Amino acid sequence: MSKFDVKSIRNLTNLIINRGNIRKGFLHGSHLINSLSRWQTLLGFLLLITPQISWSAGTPAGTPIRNTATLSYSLGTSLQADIPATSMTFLVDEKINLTVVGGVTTNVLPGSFNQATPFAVTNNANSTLDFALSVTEIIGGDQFDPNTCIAYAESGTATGYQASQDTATFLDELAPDATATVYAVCDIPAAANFETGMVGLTATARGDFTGPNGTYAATAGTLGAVITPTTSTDTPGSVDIVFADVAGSEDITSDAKHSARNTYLIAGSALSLTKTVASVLDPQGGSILMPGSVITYQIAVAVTGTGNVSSLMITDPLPAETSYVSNSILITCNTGTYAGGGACGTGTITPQPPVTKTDTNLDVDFVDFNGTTANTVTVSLGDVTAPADFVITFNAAIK
Amino acid sequence: MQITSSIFTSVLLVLLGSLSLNAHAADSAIKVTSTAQIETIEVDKQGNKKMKLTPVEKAVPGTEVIFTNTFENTSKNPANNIVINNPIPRESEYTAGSAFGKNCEILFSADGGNKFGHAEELKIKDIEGKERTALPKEYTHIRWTYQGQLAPGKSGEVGFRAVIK
Repeated sequence: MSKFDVKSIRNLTNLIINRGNIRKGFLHGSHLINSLSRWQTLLGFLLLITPQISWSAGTPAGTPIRNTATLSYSLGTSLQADIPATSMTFLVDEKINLTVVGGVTTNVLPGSFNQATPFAVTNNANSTLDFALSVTEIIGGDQFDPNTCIAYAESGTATGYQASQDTATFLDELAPDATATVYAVCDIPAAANFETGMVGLTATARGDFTGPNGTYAATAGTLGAVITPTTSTDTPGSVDIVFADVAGSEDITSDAKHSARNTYLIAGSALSLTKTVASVLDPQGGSILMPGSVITYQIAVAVTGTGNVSSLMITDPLPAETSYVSNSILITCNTGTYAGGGACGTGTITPQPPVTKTDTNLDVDFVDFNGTTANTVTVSLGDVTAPADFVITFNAAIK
Repeated sequence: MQITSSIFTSVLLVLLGSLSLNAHAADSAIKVTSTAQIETIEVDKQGNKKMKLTPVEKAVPGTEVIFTNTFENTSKNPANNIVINNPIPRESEYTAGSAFGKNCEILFSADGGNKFGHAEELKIKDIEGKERTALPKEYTHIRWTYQGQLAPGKSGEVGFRAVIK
Protein backbone atom coordinates (compact mmCIF):
# COMPACT_ATOMS: atom_id res chain seq x y z
CA MET A 1 0.00 0.00 0.00
CA SER A 2 2.69 2.43 0.95
CA LYS A 3 4.35 1.96 -2.41
CA PHE A 4 1.38 3.70 -3.99
CA ASP A 5 1.16 6.46 -1.51
CA VAL A 6 0.12 9.57 -3.40
CA LYS A 7 2.70 11.71 -1.69
CA SER A 8 5.65 9.55 -2.64
CA ILE A 9 4.51 9.32 -6.22
CA ARG A 10 3.96 13.06 -6.46
CA ASN A 11 7.56 13.64 -5.52
CA LEU A 12 8.65 11.90 -8.69
CA THR A 13 6.76 14.33 -10.87
CA ASN A 14 9.10 16.75 -12.53
CA LEU A 15 8.66 20.05 -14.23
CA ILE A 16 11.04 21.26 -16.81
CA ILE A 17 11.05 24.92 -17.72
CA ASN A 18 13.79 26.42 -19.78
CA ARG A 19 14.19 29.41 -17.41
CA GLY A 20 15.67 29.14 -13.95
CA ASN A 21 16.51 26.13 -11.91
CA ILE A 22 13.01 25.00 -11.14
CA ARG A 23 12.81 21.28 -11.05
CA LYS A 24 10.51 19.82 -8.54
CA GLY A 25 7.10 20.05 -6.95
CA PHE A 26 5.86 23.44 -5.73
CA LEU A 27 8.02 26.16 -7.02
CA HIS A 28 10.08 28.91 -5.57
CA GLY A 29 8.52 31.62 -7.64
CA SER A 30 11.20 34.23 -7.07
CA HIS A 31 13.08 32.88 -10.07
CA LEU A 32 10.34 34.14 -12.30
CA ILE A 33 10.16 37.75 -11.18
CA ASN A 34 11.38 39.68 -14.11
CA SER A 35 14.28 42.04 -13.70
CA LEU A 36 12.17 45.06 -14.60
CA SER A 37 9.98 44.70 -11.53
CA ARG A 38 13.06 44.58 -9.33
CA TRP A 39 14.36 47.82 -10.75
CA GLN A 40 10.96 49.41 -10.32
CA THR A 41 10.99 48.45 -6.68
CA LEU A 42 14.48 49.81 -6.15
CA LEU A 43 13.73 53.04 -7.98
CA GLY A 44 10.57 53.71 -5.97
CA PHE A 45 12.55 53.13 -2.81
CA LEU A 46 15.26 55.61 -3.72
CA LEU A 47 12.77 58.31 -4.66
CA LEU A 48 11.06 57.92 -1.31
CA ILE A 49 14.11 58.28 0.86
CA THR A 50 15.76 61.18 -0.96
CA PRO A 51 13.81 64.00 0.79
CA GLN A 52 14.88 62.67 4.19
CA ILE A 53 18.60 63.27 3.68
CA SER A 54 18.53 66.93 4.70
CA TRP A 55 17.13 66.14 8.15
CA SER A 56 19.39 66.92 11.02
CA ALA A 57 19.46 65.05 14.27
CA GLY A 58 21.07 67.99 16.07
CA THR A 59 23.68 68.66 18.72
CA PRO A 60 24.90 65.42 20.32
CA ALA A 61 23.19 64.45 23.56
CA GLY A 62 25.18 65.41 26.65
CA THR A 63 26.88 68.43 25.04
CA PRO A 64 27.24 71.28 27.57
CA ILE A 65 25.95 74.69 26.47
CA ARG A 66 26.98 77.87 28.25
CA ASN A 67 26.44 81.50 27.34
CA THR A 68 29.64 83.52 27.73
CA ALA A 69 28.83 87.24 27.66
CA THR A 70 31.48 89.80 28.57
CA LEU A 71 30.87 93.37 29.70
CA SER A 72 33.35 96.21 29.29
CA TYR A 73 32.90 99.66 30.80
CA SER A 74 34.58 102.78 32.05
CA LEU A 75 34.39 104.76 35.19
CA GLY A 76 34.88 108.35 34.18
CA THR A 77 37.50 108.12 31.47
CA SER A 78 39.32 105.17 32.92
CA LEU A 79 38.68 101.83 31.21
CA GLN A 80 37.95 99.01 33.61
CA ALA A 81 38.69 95.31 33.30
CA ASP A 82 36.20 93.24 31.31
CA ILE A 83 33.64 91.39 33.39
CA PRO A 84 32.57 87.93 32.29
CA ALA A 85 28.96 87.19 33.08
CA THR A 86 28.12 84.71 35.77
CA SER A 87 26.30 81.96 33.92
CA MET A 88 25.02 78.46 34.13
CA THR A 89 25.83 75.49 31.94
CA PHE A 90 23.07 73.22 30.79
CA LEU A 91 23.34 69.96 28.90
CA VAL A 92 21.70 69.02 25.64
CA ASP A 93 19.10 66.36 26.31
CA GLU A 94 18.86 63.11 24.46
CA LYS A 95 16.21 63.32 21.79
CA ILE A 96 15.07 59.85 20.79
CA ASN A 97 13.67 60.06 17.29
CA LEU A 98 13.61 57.86 14.22
CA THR A 99 11.87 57.53 10.89
CA VAL A 100 10.82 54.40 9.04
CA VAL A 101 9.93 54.97 5.40
CA GLY A 102 7.97 52.38 3.46
CA GLY A 103 5.38 52.83 0.74
CA VAL A 104 7.20 50.42 -1.55
CA THR A 105 5.24 47.97 -3.70
CA THR A 106 7.08 44.72 -4.31
CA ASN A 107 5.87 42.36 -7.01
CA VAL A 108 5.69 38.74 -5.91
CA LEU A 109 4.39 35.39 -7.04
CA PRO A 110 1.68 33.51 -5.19
CA GLY A 111 3.12 30.78 -3.01
CA SER A 112 6.66 32.14 -3.20
CA PHE A 113 9.13 32.09 -0.32
CA ASN A 114 11.51 34.61 1.28
CA GLN A 115 10.29 37.65 -0.60
CA ALA A 116 12.17 40.77 0.48
CA THR A 117 10.64 44.25 0.51
CA PRO A 118 12.83 47.21 1.49
CA PHE A 119 12.29 49.88 4.14
CA ALA A 120 14.53 52.82 5.12
CA VAL A 121 15.23 53.44 8.80
CA THR A 122 16.79 56.80 9.76
CA ASN A 123 18.24 57.65 13.16
CA ASN A 124 16.93 61.16 13.93
CA ALA A 125 18.22 61.02 17.51
CA ASN A 126 21.19 63.09 18.63
CA SER A 127 23.20 60.02 19.61
CA THR A 128 24.29 56.76 18.00
CA LEU A 129 21.75 54.04 18.74
CA ASP A 130 20.77 50.48 17.91
CA PHE A 131 17.36 49.71 16.46
CA ALA A 132 15.31 46.58 17.13
CA LEU A 133 13.19 45.45 14.20
CA SER A 134 9.82 43.73 14.07
CA VAL A 135 7.39 42.87 11.29
CA THR A 136 3.59 43.11 11.33
CA GLU A 137 1.96 40.52 9.07
CA ILE A 138 -1.74 40.95 9.73
CA ILE A 139 -2.99 44.33 8.53
CA GLY A 140 -6.54 45.15 7.49
CA GLY A 141 -7.47 46.42 4.06
CA ASP A 142 -5.57 43.90 1.98
CA GLN A 143 -6.41 40.56 0.40
CA PHE A 144 -3.76 38.28 1.89
CA ASP A 145 -1.36 38.16 4.81
CA PRO A 146 2.31 37.48 4.16
CA ASN A 147 3.65 35.00 6.71
CA THR A 148 6.79 33.83 8.57
CA CYS A 149 8.21 37.33 8.13
CA ILE A 150 11.61 38.29 9.54
CA ALA A 151 13.33 41.67 9.27
CA TYR A 152 16.97 41.74 8.17
CA ALA A 153 19.40 44.65 7.94
CA GLU A 154 21.21 45.26 4.66
CA SER A 155 24.87 44.37 5.22
CA GLY A 156 26.08 46.69 2.48
CA THR A 157 28.10 43.96 0.78
CA ALA A 158 25.82 43.67 -2.24
CA THR A 159 22.80 45.74 -3.26
CA GLY A 160 19.44 44.13 -2.64
CA TYR A 161 18.50 41.36 -0.25
CA GLN A 162 21.02 38.53 -0.14
CA ALA A 163 19.96 35.71 2.17
CA SER A 164 23.57 34.71 2.74
CA GLN A 165 24.80 38.22 3.61
CA ASP A 166 21.92 40.15 5.13
CA THR A 167 21.52 38.13 8.30
CA ALA A 168 21.52 40.75 11.10
CA THR A 169 18.11 41.06 12.73
CA PHE A 170 18.72 44.50 14.27
CA LEU A 171 20.46 47.72 13.24
CA ASP A 172 23.75 48.00 15.06
CA GLU A 173 25.26 51.41 15.87
CA LEU A 174 23.35 53.69 13.53
CA ALA A 175 24.88 57.21 13.69
CA PRO A 176 22.73 60.34 13.98
CA ASP A 177 21.21 61.23 10.59
CA ALA A 178 22.31 57.89 9.10
CA THR A 179 19.83 55.81 7.12
CA ALA A 180 19.92 52.02 6.83
CA THR A 181 18.02 49.65 4.58
CA VAL A 182 15.97 46.96 6.28
CA TYR A 183 14.15 44.17 4.48
CA ALA A 184 10.99 42.48 5.61
CA VAL A 185 11.39 38.94 4.24
CA CYS A 186 8.12 37.02 4.04
CA ASP A 187 6.49 33.98 2.50
CA ILE A 188 3.56 34.71 0.21
CA PRO A 189 0.42 32.56 0.42
CA ALA A 190 -1.69 31.46 -2.54
CA ALA A 191 -3.43 34.52 -3.94
CA ALA A 192 -4.98 35.75 -7.16
CA ASN A 193 -3.39 38.11 -9.59
CA PHE A 194 -3.28 41.78 -8.53
CA GLU A 195 -4.21 40.96 -4.95
CA THR A 196 -2.20 42.81 -2.31
CA GLY A 197 -0.80 41.95 1.07
CA MET A 198 0.55 44.64 3.36
CA VAL A 199 3.51 44.24 5.69
CA GLY A 200 4.53 46.66 8.44
CA LEU A 201 8.03 47.28 9.78
CA THR A 202 8.54 48.74 13.24
CA ALA A 203 11.95 49.96 14.39
CA THR A 204 12.55 50.62 18.10
CA ALA A 205 15.46 52.74 19.36
CA ARG A 206 17.68 50.81 21.80
CA GLY A 207 20.81 51.81 23.62
CA ASP A 208 23.13 51.31 26.56
CA PHE A 209 23.74 53.89 29.22
CA THR A 210 27.31 54.52 28.13
CA GLY A 211 27.19 57.94 26.39
CA PRO A 212 28.70 61.24 27.60
CA ASN A 213 27.10 62.84 30.70
CA GLY A 214 24.64 60.00 31.18
CA THR A 215 23.29 59.48 27.69
CA TYR A 216 22.40 56.37 25.78
CA ALA A 217 24.83 55.05 23.20
CA ALA A 218 25.17 51.88 21.20
CA THR A 219 27.64 49.10 21.95
CA ALA A 220 28.97 47.40 18.85
CA GLY A 221 27.76 43.92 18.09
CA THR A 222 24.93 43.69 20.61
CA LEU A 223 21.41 45.05 20.61
CA GLY A 224 21.13 47.79 23.22
CA ALA A 225 18.71 47.74 26.15
CA VAL A 226 15.24 49.24 26.16
CA ILE A 227 15.43 53.03 26.49
CA THR A 228 13.32 54.61 29.21
CA PRO A 229 12.21 58.23 28.91
CA THR A 230 12.73 60.64 31.80
CA THR A 231 9.33 61.13 33.40
CA SER A 232 10.15 63.75 35.99
CA THR A 233 10.52 67.38 34.88
CA ASP A 234 14.11 67.62 36.04
CA THR A 235 16.75 65.06 36.79
CA PRO A 236 19.71 66.76 38.43
CA GLY A 237 23.07 65.37 37.42
CA SER A 238 21.95 63.65 34.26
CA VAL A 239 20.62 64.30 30.81
CA ASP A 240 16.90 63.91 30.21
CA ILE A 241 15.78 61.28 27.75
CA VAL A 242 12.98 62.74 25.63
CA PHE A 243 10.99 60.67 23.12
CA ALA A 244 10.37 62.92 20.13
CA ASP A 245 9.13 60.39 17.57
CA VAL A 246 5.83 60.73 15.76
CA ALA A 247 3.23 58.00 15.33
CA GLY A 248 3.78 55.49 12.53
CA SER A 249 1.46 53.01 10.86
CA GLU A 250 1.88 50.47 13.69
CA ASP A 251 2.90 52.65 16.64
CA ILE A 252 1.96 55.71 18.64
CA THR A 253 3.71 59.03 19.20
CA SER A 254 6.61 59.29 21.70
CA ASP A 255 7.25 55.56 22.12
CA ALA A 256 10.81 55.40 20.71
CA LYS A 257 9.34 53.53 17.75
CA HIS A 258 8.36 54.34 14.22
CA SER A 259 6.80 52.18 11.55
CA ALA A 260 5.64 52.10 7.96
CA ARG A 261 4.06 49.68 5.53
CA ASN A 262 5.00 48.12 2.22
CA THR A 263 2.74 46.22 -0.13
CA TYR A 264 3.26 42.88 -1.78
CA LEU A 265 1.49 42.78 -5.14
CA ILE A 266 0.75 39.50 -6.84
CA ALA A 267 2.22 39.97 -10.29
CA GLY A 268 4.07 37.43 -12.34
CA SER A 269 3.38 33.80 -12.99
CA ALA A 270 3.74 30.78 -10.77
CA LEU A 271 3.33 27.12 -11.45
CA SER A 272 1.70 24.59 -9.23
CA LEU A 273 0.95 20.99 -9.86
CA THR A 274 -0.99 18.52 -7.81
CA LYS A 275 -0.97 14.84 -8.47
CA THR A 276 -3.83 12.78 -7.14
CA VAL A 277 -5.22 9.29 -7.57
CA ALA A 278 -8.56 9.99 -9.25
CA SER A 279 -9.86 6.44 -9.07
CA VAL A 280 -8.89 2.80 -8.58
CA LEU A 281 -10.62 -0.03 -10.40
CA ASP A 282 -9.83 -3.56 -9.21
CA PRO A 283 -10.42 -6.72 -11.32
CA GLN A 284 -13.64 -7.40 -9.41
CA GLY A 285 -15.05 -3.96 -10.25
CA GLY A 286 -14.29 -2.54 -6.79
CA SER A 287 -11.72 0.03 -5.73
CA ILE A 288 -9.21 -2.08 -3.82
CA LEU A 289 -5.49 -1.63 -4.50
CA MET A 290 -4.30 -5.09 -5.56
CA PRO A 291 -2.41 -6.68 -8.46
CA GLY A 292 -4.42 -6.03 -11.58
CA SER A 293 -6.06 -2.88 -10.22
CA VAL A 294 -5.98 0.09 -12.60
CA ILE A 295 -5.10 3.44 -11.03
CA THR A 296 -6.18 6.64 -12.74
CA TYR A 297 -3.70 9.41 -11.94
CA GLN A 298 -4.55 13.05 -12.36
CA ILE A 299 -1.96 15.82 -12.52
CA ALA A 300 -3.62 19.25 -12.21
CA VAL A 301 -1.34 22.04 -13.42
CA ALA A 302 -2.03 25.73 -12.82
CA VAL A 303 -0.10 28.75 -14.03
CA THR A 304 -1.21 31.65 -11.82
CA GLY A 305 -0.43 35.36 -11.69
CA THR A 306 0.56 37.23 -14.83
CA GLY A 307 3.18 36.75 -17.49
CA ASN A 308 4.12 33.49 -19.04
CA VAL A 309 6.23 30.41 -18.60
CA SER A 310 8.06 29.15 -21.63
CA SER A 311 8.68 25.64 -22.95
CA LEU A 312 6.69 24.05 -20.16
CA MET A 313 7.13 20.29 -20.05
CA ILE A 314 5.75 17.91 -17.46
CA THR A 315 7.26 14.50 -16.94
CA ASP A 316 6.10 11.73 -14.64
CA PRO A 317 8.11 8.52 -14.36
CA LEU A 318 5.97 5.55 -13.52
CA PRO A 319 6.70 3.57 -10.34
CA ALA A 320 8.38 0.24 -11.12
CA GLU A 321 5.48 -1.63 -9.51
CA THR A 322 3.03 -0.37 -12.13
CA SER A 323 2.68 -0.79 -15.85
CA TYR A 324 1.32 1.94 -18.09
CA VAL A 325 -2.04 1.38 -19.83
CA SER A 326 -1.45 2.08 -23.51
CA ASN A 327 -2.90 5.23 -25.06
CA SER A 328 -4.50 6.23 -21.75
CA ILE A 329 -3.17 9.79 -21.64
CA LEU A 330 -5.97 12.37 -21.64
CA ILE A 331 -5.41 16.13 -21.68
CA THR A 332 -8.14 18.45 -20.44
CA CYS A 333 -7.30 22.04 -21.34
CA ASN A 334 -9.46 24.34 -19.20
CA THR A 335 -8.07 27.84 -19.55
CA GLY A 336 -4.96 29.64 -20.74
CA THR A 337 -3.28 31.19 -23.72
CA TYR A 338 -0.89 28.89 -25.56
CA ALA A 339 1.71 29.91 -28.09
CA GLY A 340 1.47 26.62 -29.94
CA GLY A 341 3.80 23.64 -30.11
CA GLY A 342 2.08 22.07 -27.13
CA ALA A 343 -0.64 19.66 -26.10
CA CYS A 344 -3.25 22.41 -25.64
CA GLY A 345 -2.76 23.82 -29.12
CA THR A 346 -2.63 27.51 -30.00
CA GLY A 347 -4.53 30.56 -28.75
CA THR A 348 -6.71 31.45 -25.82
CA ILE A 349 -8.93 28.59 -24.89
CA THR A 350 -12.05 28.07 -22.84
CA PRO A 351 -12.69 24.70 -21.14
CA GLN A 352 -12.42 21.91 -23.67
CA PRO A 353 -13.44 18.27 -23.38
CA PRO A 354 -10.66 15.78 -22.59
CA VAL A 355 -8.62 14.79 -25.63
CA THR A 356 -7.06 11.36 -25.84
CA LYS A 357 -3.44 11.37 -26.91
CA THR A 358 -1.31 8.67 -28.46
CA ASP A 359 1.89 7.30 -26.97
CA THR A 360 4.14 7.77 -29.99
CA ASN A 361 7.33 9.66 -29.47
CA LEU A 362 7.57 13.13 -31.08
CA ASP A 363 4.05 12.73 -32.28
CA VAL A 364 2.15 15.80 -33.39
CA ASP A 365 0.04 15.68 -30.24
CA PHE A 366 3.10 16.59 -28.09
CA VAL A 367 2.56 13.72 -25.69
CA ASP A 368 4.39 10.45 -25.38
CA PHE A 369 5.09 7.57 -23.10
CA ASN A 370 8.43 5.75 -23.03
CA GLY A 371 9.55 7.94 -25.93
CA THR A 372 11.35 11.05 -24.74
CA THR A 373 12.24 9.31 -21.49
CA ALA A 374 11.99 5.63 -20.68
CA ASN A 375 8.90 4.49 -18.74
CA THR A 376 7.84 8.13 -18.33
CA VAL A 377 4.81 10.15 -19.30
CA THR A 378 5.96 13.33 -21.07
CA VAL A 379 3.60 16.20 -21.88
CA SER A 380 4.82 19.33 -23.66
CA LEU A 381 2.79 22.54 -23.46
CA GLY A 382 5.11 25.08 -25.08
CA ASP A 383 4.83 28.71 -23.98
CA VAL A 384 1.91 29.27 -21.63
CA THR A 385 0.49 32.66 -20.57
CA ALA A 386 -1.15 32.89 -17.14
CA PRO A 387 -3.75 32.30 -15.96
CA ALA A 388 -3.90 28.77 -17.31
CA ASP A 389 -4.89 25.40 -15.98
CA PHE A 390 -5.06 21.97 -17.46
CA VAL A 391 -5.25 18.39 -16.26
CA ILE A 392 -3.26 15.35 -17.38
CA THR A 393 -4.86 11.99 -16.76
CA PHE A 394 -3.40 8.54 -17.39
CA ASN A 395 -3.86 5.00 -16.19
CA ALA A 396 -1.42 2.48 -14.75
CA ALA A 397 -2.03 -1.09 -13.63
CA ILE A 398 -0.50 -2.63 -10.51
CA LYS A 399 1.80 -5.46 -11.45
CA MET B 1 19.25 68.31 33.44
CA GLN B 2 22.52 69.19 34.96
CA ILE B 3 23.04 72.84 35.85
CA THR B 4 26.60 73.52 36.76
CA SER B 5 27.20 76.72 38.56
CA SER B 6 30.28 78.65 37.68
CA ILE B 7 29.57 81.58 39.96
CA PHE B 8 32.69 80.95 41.99
CA THR B 9 35.03 81.07 39.01
CA SER B 10 33.42 84.19 37.62
CA VAL B 11 33.56 86.09 40.90
CA LEU B 12 37.21 85.23 41.21
CA LEU B 13 37.91 86.56 37.73
CA VAL B 14 36.05 89.76 38.47
CA LEU B 15 38.09 90.34 41.61
CA LEU B 16 41.41 89.60 39.95
CA GLY B 17 40.64 91.82 37.01
CA SER B 18 39.51 94.69 39.16
CA LEU B 19 42.50 94.62 41.44
CA SER B 20 45.02 94.55 38.69
CA LEU B 21 43.69 97.46 36.66
CA ASN B 22 42.24 100.18 38.76
CA ALA B 23 42.17 101.26 42.35
CA HIS B 24 38.49 102.19 42.06
CA ALA B 25 37.55 98.84 40.63
CA ALA B 26 37.30 96.79 43.79
CA ASP B 27 34.35 98.78 45.06
CA SER B 28 32.87 99.78 41.69
CA ALA B 29 32.28 96.51 39.86
CA ILE B 30 29.29 95.91 37.68
CA LYS B 31 27.55 92.65 38.43
CA VAL B 32 26.75 90.69 35.26
CA THR B 33 24.58 87.56 35.24
CA SER B 34 23.60 85.47 32.28
CA THR B 35 20.57 83.18 32.42
CA ALA B 36 19.16 80.60 30.03
CA GLN B 37 15.40 80.18 30.02
CA ILE B 38 12.65 78.68 27.93
CA GLU B 39 9.20 80.02 27.36
CA THR B 40 6.33 77.83 28.51
CA ILE B 41 2.62 78.43 28.22
CA GLU B 42 0.72 78.34 31.48
CA VAL B 43 -3.05 78.11 31.57
CA ASP B 44 -4.73 79.62 34.63
CA LYS B 45 -8.04 78.60 36.22
CA GLN B 46 -9.97 80.89 33.91
CA GLY B 47 -8.38 79.19 30.93
CA ASN B 48 -6.25 82.20 30.03
CA LYS B 49 -2.93 81.36 28.47
CA LYS B 50 0.08 83.08 29.93
CA MET B 51 3.67 82.94 28.74
CA LYS B 52 6.08 82.04 31.50
CA LEU B 53 9.84 81.91 31.53
CA THR B 54 11.43 78.98 33.30
CA PRO B 55 15.07 77.91 33.60
CA VAL B 56 16.14 75.50 30.87
CA GLU B 57 15.13 71.95 31.74
CA LYS B 58 14.46 70.09 28.52
CA ALA B 59 17.00 71.27 26.03
CA VAL B 60 16.59 68.89 23.17
CA PRO B 61 17.73 70.05 19.72
CA GLY B 62 15.13 72.41 18.33
CA THR B 63 14.41 74.06 21.67
CA GLU B 64 14.45 77.88 21.62
CA VAL B 65 16.41 79.21 24.56
CA ILE B 66 16.24 82.79 25.79
CA PHE B 67 19.65 84.01 26.94
CA THR B 68 19.45 87.09 29.13
CA ASN B 69 22.36 89.16 30.47
CA THR B 70 21.50 91.34 33.47
CA PHE B 71 23.98 94.00 34.56
CA GLU B 72 23.81 96.13 37.68
CA ASN B 73 26.01 99.00 38.74
CA THR B 74 26.92 98.06 42.29
CA SER B 75 29.45 100.88 42.65
CA LYS B 76 28.97 104.41 43.93
CA ASN B 77 29.95 105.93 40.59
CA PRO B 78 28.12 106.11 37.28
CA ALA B 79 29.50 103.72 34.66
CA ASN B 80 29.79 104.62 31.02
CA ASN B 81 30.98 103.10 27.74
CA ILE B 82 29.19 99.90 28.68
CA VAL B 83 29.54 97.32 25.95
CA ILE B 84 28.33 93.73 26.25
CA ASN B 85 29.85 91.28 23.83
CA ASN B 86 28.08 87.94 23.58
CA PRO B 87 29.27 85.07 21.37
CA ILE B 88 26.20 83.07 20.38
CA PRO B 89 26.72 79.55 21.77
CA ARG B 90 28.09 77.43 18.94
CA GLU B 91 25.49 74.74 19.55
CA SER B 92 22.67 77.18 18.80
CA GLU B 93 21.36 79.41 16.01
CA TYR B 94 20.26 82.99 16.57
CA THR B 95 16.53 83.62 16.08
CA ALA B 96 15.99 86.50 13.62
CA GLY B 97 14.89 89.75 15.27
CA SER B 98 15.07 88.37 18.78
CA ALA B 99 17.85 90.54 20.24
CA PHE B 100 16.56 93.01 22.82
CA GLY B 101 18.11 95.69 25.04
CA LYS B 102 16.54 98.94 26.21
CA ASN B 103 18.65 102.00 25.54
CA CYS B 104 21.18 99.97 23.56
CA GLU B 105 22.57 99.95 20.06
CA ILE B 106 22.56 96.33 18.96
CA LEU B 107 25.07 95.13 16.37
CA PHE B 108 25.87 91.67 15.08
CA SER B 109 28.86 89.84 13.72
CA ALA B 110 28.87 86.96 11.27
CA ASP B 111 32.64 86.46 11.17
CA GLY B 112 33.54 85.39 14.67
CA GLY B 113 33.47 88.85 16.21
CA ASN B 114 35.92 90.66 13.93
CA LYS B 115 33.44 92.99 12.26
CA PHE B 116 30.20 94.22 13.80
CA GLY B 117 27.36 95.86 11.93
CA HIS B 118 23.64 96.06 11.34
CA ALA B 119 21.95 93.07 9.77
CA GLU B 120 22.19 94.30 6.17
CA GLU B 121 25.88 95.14 6.53
CA LEU B 122 26.90 91.60 7.44
CA LYS B 123 28.34 89.75 4.48
CA ILE B 124 29.40 86.18 4.05
CA LYS B 125 31.36 84.68 1.19
CA ASP B 126 30.00 81.50 -0.31
CA ILE B 127 32.12 78.65 -1.64
CA GLU B 128 32.57 80.40 -4.99
CA GLY B 129 33.79 83.60 -3.30
CA LYS B 130 30.53 85.43 -3.98
CA GLU B 131 29.45 87.83 -1.25
CA ARG B 132 25.95 87.69 0.17
CA THR B 133 24.12 89.04 3.20
CA ALA B 134 24.52 86.79 6.22
CA LEU B 135 21.46 84.94 7.45
CA PRO B 136 20.47 85.55 11.10
CA LYS B 137 21.23 81.91 11.89
CA GLU B 138 24.79 82.53 10.72
CA TYR B 139 25.45 85.30 13.26
CA THR B 140 28.30 84.48 15.59
CA HIS B 141 28.21 87.42 18.02
CA ILE B 142 25.88 90.08 19.37
CA ARG B 143 27.12 93.38 20.82
CA TRP B 144 25.07 95.79 22.91
CA THR B 145 26.39 99.33 23.38
CA TYR B 146 24.58 100.99 26.25
CA GLN B 147 23.67 104.58 25.44
CA GLY B 148 24.70 106.99 28.17
CA GLN B 149 25.60 106.32 31.75
CA LEU B 150 24.39 103.64 34.12
CA ALA B 151 23.80 105.35 37.43
CA PRO B 152 24.82 103.68 40.71
CA GLY B 153 22.27 101.06 41.79
CA LYS B 154 20.66 100.96 38.35
CA SER B 155 20.52 97.87 36.19
CA GLY B 156 19.88 96.90 32.60
CA GLU B 157 18.89 93.77 30.71
CA VAL B 158 19.88 92.59 27.24
CA GLY B 159 19.36 89.28 25.56
CA PHE B 160 18.40 87.17 22.58
CA ARG B 161 16.81 83.91 21.57
CA ALA B 162 18.59 81.01 19.91
CA VAL B 163 17.49 77.56 18.85
CA ILE B 164 19.61 74.58 19.87
CA LYS B 165 20.99 72.90 16.78
